[in-house]
Amino acid sequence: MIRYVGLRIFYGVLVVFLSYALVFVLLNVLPGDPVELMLSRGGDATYIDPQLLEEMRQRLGYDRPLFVQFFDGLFGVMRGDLGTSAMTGASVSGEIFRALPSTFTLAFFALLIGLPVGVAVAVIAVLIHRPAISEFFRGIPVLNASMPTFWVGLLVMQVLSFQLKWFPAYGTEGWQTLVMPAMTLAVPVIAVTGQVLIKSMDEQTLEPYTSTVWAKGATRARVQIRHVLRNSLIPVITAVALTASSLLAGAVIVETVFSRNGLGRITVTAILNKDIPMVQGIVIVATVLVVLANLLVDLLYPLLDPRIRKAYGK
Amino acid sequence: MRRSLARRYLVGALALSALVGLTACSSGPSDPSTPSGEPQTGGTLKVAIDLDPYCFDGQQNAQTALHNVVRQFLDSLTIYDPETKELNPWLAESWEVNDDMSEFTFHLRDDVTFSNGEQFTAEHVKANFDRIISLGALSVKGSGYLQGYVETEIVDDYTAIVKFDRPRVSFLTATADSVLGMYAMETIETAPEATCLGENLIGSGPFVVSQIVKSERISLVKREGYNWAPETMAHQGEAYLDGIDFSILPERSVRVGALQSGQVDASMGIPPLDAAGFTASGFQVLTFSNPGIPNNLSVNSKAIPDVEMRRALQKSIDREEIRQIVYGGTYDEVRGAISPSTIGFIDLSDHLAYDPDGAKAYFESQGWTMGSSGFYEKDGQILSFTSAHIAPGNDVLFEMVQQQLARVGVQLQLNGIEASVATESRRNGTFNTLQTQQTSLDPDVIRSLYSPVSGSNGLQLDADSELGQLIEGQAYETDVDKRMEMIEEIQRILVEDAYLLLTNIQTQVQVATSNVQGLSFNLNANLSFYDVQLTQ
Repeated sequence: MIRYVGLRIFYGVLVVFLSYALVFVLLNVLPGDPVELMLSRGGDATYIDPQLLEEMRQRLGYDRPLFVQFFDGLFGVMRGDLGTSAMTGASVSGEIFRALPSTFTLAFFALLIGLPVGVAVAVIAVLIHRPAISEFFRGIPVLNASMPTFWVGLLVMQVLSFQLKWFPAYGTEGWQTLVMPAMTLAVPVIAVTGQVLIKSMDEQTLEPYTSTVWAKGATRARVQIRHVLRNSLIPVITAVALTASSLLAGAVIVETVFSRNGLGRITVTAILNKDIPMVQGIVIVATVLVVLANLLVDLLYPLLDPRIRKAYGK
Repeated sequence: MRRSLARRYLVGALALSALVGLTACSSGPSDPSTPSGEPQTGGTLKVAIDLDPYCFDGQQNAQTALHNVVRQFLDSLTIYDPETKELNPWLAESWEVNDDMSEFTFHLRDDVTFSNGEQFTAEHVKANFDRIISLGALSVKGSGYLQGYVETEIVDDYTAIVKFDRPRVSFLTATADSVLGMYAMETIETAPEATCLGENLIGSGPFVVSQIVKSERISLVKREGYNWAPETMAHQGEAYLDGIDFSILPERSVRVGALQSGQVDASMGIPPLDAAGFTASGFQVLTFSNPGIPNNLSVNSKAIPDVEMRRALQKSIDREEIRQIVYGGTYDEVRGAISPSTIGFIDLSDHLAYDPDGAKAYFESQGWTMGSSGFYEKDGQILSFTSAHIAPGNDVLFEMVQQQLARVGVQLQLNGIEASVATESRRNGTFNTLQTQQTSLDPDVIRSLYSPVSGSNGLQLDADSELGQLIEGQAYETDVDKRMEMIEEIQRILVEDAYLLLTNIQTQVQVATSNVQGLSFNLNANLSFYDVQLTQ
């Protein structure tokens, strides 16, 4: 069991390290001087005083040899110090942690809407044997998966805000402002949960143990919900962990469309303004979040499924 | 692909030009919609802004859209009269300049207070300029304005002398820019990273910052007792509005929808093609051509040394077609080497006529013959140039230029590049033609972009060339009339010798409902909400 946990944590740390290294290499391989890149914001052809360039280079430590920059940055990451923003001089980790609660709230409500809807759609699709109805419900997750978040957000806003005027198009005060963004971000959650659960339940339905349950005279609902659904949930938990990354990616779009602050939004601002230390910091924090979500699921498996617990022994 | 794109724009343009023909749109500072009768006071104006500022401190962040907000709470020493283009008093009642234009004495108003109660004095002038110097690279534009700054001497409470180590003929113009606006000591004593996040932004303007939520909104309320508006404004005393709520809406379709559904009263950054539709449905469309260098392909004089060749290329660009199709007829036409709102502008549109036959005649006189590829050829070589533009924002524009040059038999190879790569190739001269544009009220902007001595040398001129010497020399010419003559001569050479292949003028488009009255731009390309009334 300890070996299992240790291995999972080791993989997690490795992924974070690799993402740090990849970002570092990319930045130094791409054409253009990073300091000049950061100072030439926007389309205006600003003349930059060479003295200012030099000052900026020193302040951000880009005048040091590459391997010093690499390891210094790496030790910083280990200490939780992600450096300072090139634009504002503020601490990168401070900026990110200020933005996180808003994104977490949004992601929480997206899961709150998305998970029950996804499960319900899957159960109905498998439970009901009328082909027309079953096919309709089987189509919902696929439809959700094929709709780009960006488009959904604008569509939801167009109808619920601009046409029906039920909800404000922007703002963060009051629960009304959370409805449309959470609905939009729930779309990929419904897609993943529904698709995985339908597939998993279909497979489980063919397992021999269902015949036993049938033979004991159980109703269809009892077979599907009490037995098949319970056994089908393991892959769904994996899928939910995978949605952690799609929630972060979706936040970039949803927070921009609905004008909310959060991790997605500071990502966009940092990229548009070429704030390299900030972008690096966000990549690392996003990687850590995704790794943690996956680690959590990996650690949950043995608790949920006795077979996995047994496989890894004591 | 390309043809269908062009057709789409053409269809749009035809529809739009029909709309534009029916409705007049107010444009520029010369034509603010002025209300009649008793002024309507009160109300909070809701405004959508397109830019998400990375920093809210106006001395650090020079983005135009942010300064549409900053201008409302930050006052400056001087202001330009948009009608006469003359510098007018604001926080400074008067000023004197020494003979070599290196020392500027400001006599300040003695009745100005900041919203935290501080009295505005010469100490503030010194502390603000010292702050910008210490910000360094965090204030690229501000540091540029204060190049050669030595110190500010405080003569008495209301007299300050700003000293430079060299003649600074463009400094007075810079004092009108809100980037050099005056903060209270409380702001100056706050750490720059905190002011960036919107803490303690205290000015003496007609509005006061009440709340800033990063990436979401900036709320301003009226400053009670404001009584030092410059005479260039339509009224004196407090602002008419109770407050302004700026919402940061980076997504274009959200701004358009919020405006149409009445969730905001005005919106900045409306694309020109949408603007025409708003005009048709009873909204006001305000446009303002930013001062400075218009959008152009700046020619590397080493790569294309033949002046007649450059002129032929200038003749091949159909600017009216660009204006109608790419910008829906909303933008003003480009008429010279600098934009009409820039100080010292002269109209050179006679040299910007579209003359494809003239261009072809020149190519043929030089022995170029039309090849099977549709381009001119000589000795097996195609008549071809490369161009670099900042992508992706300008792709449609330069694809249009490419098509226009192809019509006269010249191949233009487009390269979409990153802004910093443009800065690098401008300096290194690794280009044929390079997209350039810059917003600035003072024509000294020509020096920062094109001077071979103290600028980016964006035309790859020799320091001892006539043009190079003029561009550098005007910055040290202390006789104002003489300097303006030099500026005129520079503009003439840039256009007549076709160093700048001009395409269009960068234009701000703002749309407001008909209830918003008195909204105008100042000469620095910032909106002013001080005179705005919200009618029912």
